[in-house]
This record gives sequence, structure tokens and C-alpha cells, in this order.
Amino acid sequence: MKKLLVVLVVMVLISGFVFATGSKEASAKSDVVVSMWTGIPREHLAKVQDTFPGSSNIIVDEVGYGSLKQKQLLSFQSAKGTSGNLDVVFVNGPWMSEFVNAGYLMSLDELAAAAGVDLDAYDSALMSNLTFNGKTYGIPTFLQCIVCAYDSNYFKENNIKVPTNYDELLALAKQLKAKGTGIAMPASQANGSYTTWSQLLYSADGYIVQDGKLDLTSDTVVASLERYKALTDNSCDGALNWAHEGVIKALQSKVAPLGLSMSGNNSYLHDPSASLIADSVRYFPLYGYGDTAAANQTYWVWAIPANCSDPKAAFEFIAWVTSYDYEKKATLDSYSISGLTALAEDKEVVSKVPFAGVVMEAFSNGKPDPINPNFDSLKSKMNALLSGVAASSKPNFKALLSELQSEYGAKW
Amino acid sequence: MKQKVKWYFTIFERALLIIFLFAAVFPIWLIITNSLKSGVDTFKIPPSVFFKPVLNNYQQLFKTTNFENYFKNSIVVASFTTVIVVMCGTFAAYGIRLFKSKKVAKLSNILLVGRAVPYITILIPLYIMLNKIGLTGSLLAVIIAHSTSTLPFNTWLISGFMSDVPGELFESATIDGCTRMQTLFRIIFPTLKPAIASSAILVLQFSWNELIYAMGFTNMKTYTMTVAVARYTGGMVVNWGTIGAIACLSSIPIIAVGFFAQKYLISGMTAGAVKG
Amino acid sequence: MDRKSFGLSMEKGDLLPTILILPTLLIVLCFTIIPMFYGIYVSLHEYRLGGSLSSENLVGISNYVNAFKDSTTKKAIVNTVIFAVGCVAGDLVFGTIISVLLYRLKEGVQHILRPFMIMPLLVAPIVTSLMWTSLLDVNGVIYWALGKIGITYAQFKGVSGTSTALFCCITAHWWTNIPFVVIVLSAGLLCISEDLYEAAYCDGVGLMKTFWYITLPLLKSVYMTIILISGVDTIKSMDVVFGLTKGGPNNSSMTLNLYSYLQAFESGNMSYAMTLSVLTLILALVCFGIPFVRYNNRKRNQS
Repeated sequence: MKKLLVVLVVMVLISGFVFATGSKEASAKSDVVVSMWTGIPREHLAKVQDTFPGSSNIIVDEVGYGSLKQKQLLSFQSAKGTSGNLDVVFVNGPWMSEFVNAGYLMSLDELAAAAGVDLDAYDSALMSNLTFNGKTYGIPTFLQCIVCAYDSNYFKENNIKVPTNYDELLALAKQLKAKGTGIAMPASQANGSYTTWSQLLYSADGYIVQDGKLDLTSDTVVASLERYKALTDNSCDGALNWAHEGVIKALQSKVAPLGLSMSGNNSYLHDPSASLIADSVRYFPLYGYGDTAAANQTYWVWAIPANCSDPKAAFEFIAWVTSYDYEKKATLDSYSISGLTALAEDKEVVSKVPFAGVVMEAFSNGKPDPINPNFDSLKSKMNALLSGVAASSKPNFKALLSELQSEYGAKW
Repeated sequence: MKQKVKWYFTIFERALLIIFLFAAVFPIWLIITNSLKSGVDTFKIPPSVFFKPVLNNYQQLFKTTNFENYFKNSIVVASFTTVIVVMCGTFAAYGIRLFKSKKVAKLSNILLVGRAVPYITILIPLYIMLNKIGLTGSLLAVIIAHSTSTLPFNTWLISGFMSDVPGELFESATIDGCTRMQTLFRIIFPTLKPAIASSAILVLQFSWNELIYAMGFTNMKTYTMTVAVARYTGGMVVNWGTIGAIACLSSIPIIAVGFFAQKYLISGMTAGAVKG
Repeated sequence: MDRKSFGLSMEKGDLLPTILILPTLLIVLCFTIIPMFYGIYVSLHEYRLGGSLSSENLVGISNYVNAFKDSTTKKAIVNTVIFAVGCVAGDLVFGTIISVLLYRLKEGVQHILRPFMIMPLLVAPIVTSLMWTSLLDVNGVIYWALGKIGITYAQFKGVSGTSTALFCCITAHWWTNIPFVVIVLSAGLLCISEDLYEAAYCDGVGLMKTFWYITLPLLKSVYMTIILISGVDTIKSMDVVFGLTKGGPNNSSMTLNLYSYLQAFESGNMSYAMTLSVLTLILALVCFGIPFVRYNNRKRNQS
């Protein structure tokens, strides 16, 4: 009796082991595992598994933003050929230098030459960000930056003119705040606040790194902080806890008639089943200083991990998904903006995607984040600082910045 | 405490209780109803109590995600974890009881410390270890992580119940000629059935709702329900109806189990506190 | 007829008890203890995920020294303690009130209502944080209700105010945890013999006095266990704060465990994250774990 029970238990455990680990069915096609981010509007890559014309079987592994980097880092460190390893990764622009310096990615030049793909077709400024030691490590796509979205019906009813520079934008925000709403901003202790503030800084042609050294206490930086504070003072109630989706919700539900939305999310504003302003939403650039609108160049990169077992198949996928035809279809379907310079001038795109022009204009004035291993850590401290600035009544900008400067200046 | 009190005090009591019950149930009701409304309707405040339920969100969910798979994965992980933890826990509790020295019994209290270990301390090292064996991405990895988190506490729990079993029971079994393992299976298991059921429910609830280990150790083939919910809150998705639908589907099974097994849930949580 | 006589059947060199304990011991050793020591080992280096872990990055305890110099860590420790104390205190107070209210109902009604009180406990923490984010939204239900009694956003800033963010997290955690307290206390109340109450009633003692002088002292051991188990759980808990405020605004709701998670996965400072989690473990042990083990041993000695 006892022996029978022991045998039974052991059988159950073994079957569990087998069941849990070994679903290694032989598939006719070889698998290409693509790591993706759920934030991309669904239509963009929903059908990629079915429509991919190449010979591999595409498996899309999507996770939310919070776990994307973790998943990718953990996959890079596992042995080559492990089942479930990522073959193609969708990397956030700023992570590229970290990944390349750690040796996680493979260069794409030979693969591009072999496949006949012209890497010059992509935005040259971004491509130079992706070139390390003369080798290219990724292809950019899904450009986004913060733009101003507004409800045109509300503006018409209240005789509001669309702002053309920062001062008019601030005046409009004050006007809305007096009415009880305000400007919707992602002012929470998260990356949204950093992106917004950095766009204000870049619009004044400022930068946190001067001559290779970190300089947070210069006048331009302090002034940009003051402009940020002025905006948050006139933001909607509750904006201090809003990340990008909070802003989108405020715009969708008509709580705020004007908002700073990350352009990658704008498709949600056009969805009639989720948004009350689907028909009336319009855009203008985020004027950070005077009448200049600069972007914090946020973009995503298709790259191939160094431990990929089939680089040719992986590159075949990348070449297809960044080709002119595919990107044009994606832009028209889901309002995402690609890295191909030619596409921004395509007439169809310009007419269908209303903010494409706004984003490209901002990108041309914009800068990417500095590349430094300490940057991520600085950014999260900056998020806390910005949230503190927004929350306190009379913050001492210089003192706060000096504190951060003394902590990071030396090790930059 | 059944003293008679003034009538207005009774009304005050009942009203207070109703308020608390409302506070407990309202958020759950809200998320269930939100999942049955279309996205735009969820913006109405106060939420409309009477409305026509719409199944769009659920249809969307089944069309675009691999839902049955997640459900199956959650069930597999939760049930295997429960079996492993209950078996190992009972054996260990019996072993502790068989030891002559009281020191071992005291040491078993140290098992409780296992509950204090934070997730991050174990997550990365465990990931690296499992990676070397090639188990990452499999359900077994999640099962291991969940088992190791709940084993110490549940062993302590069962050994608490075990120490309540009177010595005579063991004595009479030995006199009747049973070996100690036979005693375990024939006498102890039946006696401890409520204890084992309580422990099982607690482990089931933990494993079903656990997020961090599940997210770190699974890949797209093996996501569990909680990971599916987490994916939809990654910072950029703003379809509130779908989020509500997913949250509902992941909570309702465990709530149903809790309802039916509330007797065991209750006695499991009270053991140690009351008997201890 | 006690344990010792049963032990007579054990000879020296008897392996069975050891074999029985072995699976548990192995699992805990391999998958908790060893990783924990590896984590401590990592915290003595300067390690970023993807970097190398060699003797060159050995920095000894400088990570710990830096942690104490870091103003965010200090804030996190304070917040964690406030969070734990606030949660446990509220759990006990509200839990006691609800259990007593339930206890005074008829048996049948108790059985129907208790499952509803248990429901919040069964919901996954991430779903809880989703629920509470939408409830505490400025345009959500709670502010609508507050508006009806005259409290506006300017007076109560909810999750976007530095002084109120932690309180909102504590409230959400109360919602999840009070059912646990109610369950345990209900069982505890049932263990108190009715005779004591009868006697008190006959002596003409009022309801409040009965509760204070008879019920509470008898529930002391129950309270101890709740404090210690809940306390450890609150120090470890992260999902609710992560979903509601992510530590903001201005680190006012940053707890130690959340800070270590963000350091690990958003800033990539693995070694610093390990340092912080070791500190969390120490905090949990010092505040709740060790007193609990000593208390339990004392009880076993008495029985």
C-alpha cells in the first residue's frame, strides 16, 4: 500500500516535470522568437505571424514595458540555443549603448549587405546613434515624442486659438486651470515627466552634458525647470500621479481638453470605442521655448542578440518589418511613425496621420538622451526631483540640481 | 457577548457592518461591471448600476490573446505546487514529530523566517541557477519558486496541527503492529485531513495570485493568468474594458474556490494563531 | 503516553525521521538559502545585470555604506516602517470591529456574510492595485463621493499629494488584508467560552466593559500572531504600492522593497538592489520575525 502510494507520487512528479519542461514539438519551420512590447498599437504587429512571407515561423513574445528590459537581459545571458531564447529584440533606443557595450547584440552590417538592405534609407541622425565602433547594431522604428493633443470642438466652442509658442501655451494652460480643468501632463514619478522636461530643455538648445561633463546647474537647465514648474502648476488635478496612460484617459474622457500625449499612444485617442474625442482630436507641437519644439528623440530599435542561433532568419524578419511597404501600411493603420526618411514625405501618410508632421518637425530639432552607464540611475533620480518640484510650492531649483550634480558629476 | 443593548445601538451596529461589507464588495462589483461595459461607458461617474451588459471586451480578449493557455498554465502551476508543498510539508512535519529532541521542534519555528525573505533576493540568483539547468521559461521553474516560498510556512502550520494529535493515537497504532510509515498513511492522514485541506487552500491561493516569480520565470508559452493581467498594465495600454475583463477572469476562479472551501480557508488561517 | 514514550520505538541511527524531513530541507536549502547567500555575495560587489561578477568588482560593504548615505533609502526605510505600522494597526482596529459586529449576529447570517468579507483576500494583488487606481482617480467614484460631503481635491490630494500618497497605499492594503484579520479573530472569538459572557451579563457588566476586560485579554495570543505574520507580509509587499503610485510623488510612498525592485529592473543596479533587499530582510526580521520566533518558543515551553 505504502509502496504503491510512493510509486504514484513519483509518477505524478515525473510526469509534471516532463509536461512542464518539454513541449519541444518538432516544428516544420524553424522558429524566430521576437521580443515585443505590448504598448505598440495592436494592429501594428497582430497579424505578423500570418503575413510574414519568409520561411520562418514567427513567434511574438509580448510583455509590458516594465518587464521588457528584464526579459531581454535575462534572455541575453542564457546559453545559445536555449528554447525560448529571443532571436529578434525590440529595444528602446537608450538601452542600445548598454546592450552593445556588454556585448549582447550582433552587428547588422554584413547581414544587411547580404540581404541587399540599404541602411542609409533610415534617418541618419538616429542611425549615427546606433553605430558603435563603426558598426551598425540596429534599425530604428516607431519614433515618438510628446506632442500637444487637443479637442478641436472645445477650442471652437470657447473661441480658443491654437498656441504658436511657449508663452501662449502657458497662458492657455492658465486659462484652462481657472476654468477648473487644466493641461493634462504625465507629471508622476515616472519617465513621462523626464521626457516632458527634457523636451522643454532641448527646445532652448540646452543639454545636461556639456563637453562630455555632466552640467545640471547651468542657467538653461534651471530655466527649463522653471518652465516645467509653470506648466505643472496649471495641470489637471491628479496629474501628479499620471503616467502616459493617465493623460490619454483624461483626453479620452474629456476631462482635459488639452494634453501632452506621447505620440505613440495617439491611436487610442482616435478609437471611437474608447475615446469621446475620436472625431475632434487635433495636434500641435509642444513649444518648449519660444516657438521651438524639440523632441526627446524616443525611438525603438530592431536588433539581433549575440546568442541568436539563426541570424539570417532573424534579419530576414527585420528587413521585412522595416521595409517601405510594411512601414507605410503600419503607419496608415495604427498611426505609428517609422524611421524611414522617405515615408515622412509620402502624401498619403501626411494626410492620414495628422501628427506625423508635428513629430518629424520636433525630431529635426531634437536630441537623444545622453549615453552613459549612469544615465538610467540619474534619470530615475531626476524623475523623483521633477515630481518633487511639481509637488512643492516654492522649490529651490538650484539647490536640488546641485545636489544631484554633486552625486553624479564625478562618476559621469 | 450577547448582551441586550438599546435598539438604536443595534441599528448603529448593523449600519456600520453594512458600510464595511459595501466597502469590501464594491471594488469587485465595479471591476466586474466595468468589464461588461464598453470602454466609453466606464467614464461615467457615478457608475450606472443598471445597464445593458456588453460582451465586447471578453470577445476581444479571446480573439487577440491566448487565454485558454494562460488559464491552463495557472491551473497546472497552482495544483502541482499544492501537491508538492502538502506532501513535503506533511512528511517533514511527521519527521519533526518523530525526532526525540525538543530542539528540533524549536528549530521548526525558524521555518517561519522563510516567510520574511523578499522576492528580489531570490529572484535573480534563482534565475541564474535555473538558467544553467535550462529550466527557465518552463512551468517547472515557477512551480519550484512557488514551492520554495510556501514550504517553510506550511510545514510549520502542519506541524502545529500534528502536535495536537494525541500521543495515544500513535501508541495504539504501534501496538497494533503498524510500521511508522503505515501509521502515517493509515492514521495520521485521515486525522489531519482538515489541516491538510487548509494548507492546500492557502498554497493554492498564493500560487494562483503570485506575480513576480511567474513573470520572471515564464515565457510566452507558459504565462499564467496574473502575468497576463500584468502585461496589460505595462504603462501604455489604455483600453479599460479589456483590463477589467482580464482582471475578472483571473480573479473569479479563485474566489469561487475560496467560497466553496471557506471552511478550510478559515481553519487554515486560524491555526497557529488560535491553537498555536 | 506523551511524545517521549512514542519515541521509544526509535533506535539510535534511525534514519526515517531524517529521510522524511529531507525533501523539505533540500528544497528550502537549494532554492531559498543558497540563492539568498548568493544574493548577499552579489551585494558585496559592484554588479550591473550583464556585467561580470569577479574579484575586481569586490567592493565589500561600500554598497551598504552608500545605501545609508542615499537619501532615498533613508526615506524608504521610514516609509516602510510607517506603512507596516499603519497597515497592521488599521488591520487590527477595523478587523476587531468587524469581527465583533459579525459575532453579534445570528449564526446563519454570519455564515452568509462572512464569505463576502473574505473576497478581497482572494483577489490578486495586481488586480487590487488596478481597482484602487481607478477608484482613487480624481474623476473616479471616491472623489465623487467625497465631493458630496464637501471635500475637494485641493483638500485631499489622494495619490498625487506627498502627504497623502502613503495613506492611500495603506488604505488599499487594509482592503486586502482586513479579511485575514477578520477570519482569524472570528475563530478566536468562537473559542472564548460563552460561560464567561453569561457570568458577566449576570453581574450586570455592560457591553463595552465586557469587551475590554474579558474578550481582549483572551485574544492576546491571536493578536500577537496576527501582528507578526501581517507585519512581515507588509514589509515584503510591493504590488499595491507599485500599481498605485510607483513610489511617488517625490518618493513619499517609496518603500524599501519597491526601491530595490526599481533599482534592479529600471536602473540595472543589481548589486545595489540586492543590498536593499538584504536590508529589507533584516528590517523584517528585527521588527517582526525574531520576536515571533521567541514568542512561539516561549509558548511551546509553557504548553
